[in-house]
Amino acid sequence: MDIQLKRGLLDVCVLAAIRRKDSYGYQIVKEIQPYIAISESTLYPILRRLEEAGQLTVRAVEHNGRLRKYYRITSLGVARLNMFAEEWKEMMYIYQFVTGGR
Amino acid sequence: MQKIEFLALLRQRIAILPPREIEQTVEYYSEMIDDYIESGYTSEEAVAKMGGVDNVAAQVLAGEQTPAYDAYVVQKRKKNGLLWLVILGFPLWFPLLITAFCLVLTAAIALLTLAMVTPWSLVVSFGASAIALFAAAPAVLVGEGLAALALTVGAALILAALCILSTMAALHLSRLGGKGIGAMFKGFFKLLFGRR
Repeated sequence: MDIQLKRGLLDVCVLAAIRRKDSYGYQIVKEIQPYIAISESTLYPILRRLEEAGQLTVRAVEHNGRLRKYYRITSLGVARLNMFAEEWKEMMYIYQFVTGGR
Repeated sequence: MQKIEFLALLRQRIAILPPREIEQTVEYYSEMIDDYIESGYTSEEAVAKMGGVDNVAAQVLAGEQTPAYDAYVVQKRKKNGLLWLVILGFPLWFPLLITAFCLVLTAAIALLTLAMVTPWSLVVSFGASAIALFAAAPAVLVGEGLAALALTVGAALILAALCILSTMAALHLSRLGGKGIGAMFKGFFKLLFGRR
């Protein structure tokens, strides 16, 4: 996939993965992998960036004697997902234009 | 690689970051590895899943953007610096290398020539003596001892002189050959440096 296109999509995929319920790193990777190529190391900078942008928050939860970080979407994160859905309609027009569907 | 080793190496590579960032990063990867182990992977397998310390560190630093990433890039550039020096210096050291090689080759050829010439000289001088004796033989048989002696010495001297002359000629030629090759490469040099 085009790398520029991919960057934007990864962010919204991560947000979508934690939209329904809070999730942690390993689980997020497993949930997204069927849809888009992502590795454990590419996820980390995305999580950091989304946290800095205020689109998710982090909290530590005890699990089997160790601490696990759970990520929760914020209202800003939800707003971003809605914006993506809106832009998708525009994308459909552009897609049709590019593939000569008109 | 074990988890502890991986995390220690990672910590080293991102040491340039603020302490809080370092801790958060190490915690993230420690947790990720633990989750893989919990799903059934061995410690080594889980570490391997992370994709290598170099790659992980690079992504962490890139994610942090300047100045940590710049520092990382500078580090990498220093390593490549020496390589570039060698590559850029190619027009300088390569001709020198070739000349040195050719000088050695020339010396080797000269020595070889000498080695080839010497036995021939011996053979020729031996042959010369033999011919001289043959020339004198009839005189000896006939009984003319003095004539035989004179003939022998005369022939031997002439042939010995010829032998010495041919050896000198051979040595001279091999020397010329060596000079010729040397001159050829001097010309090469001038061509390369003359352009400057």
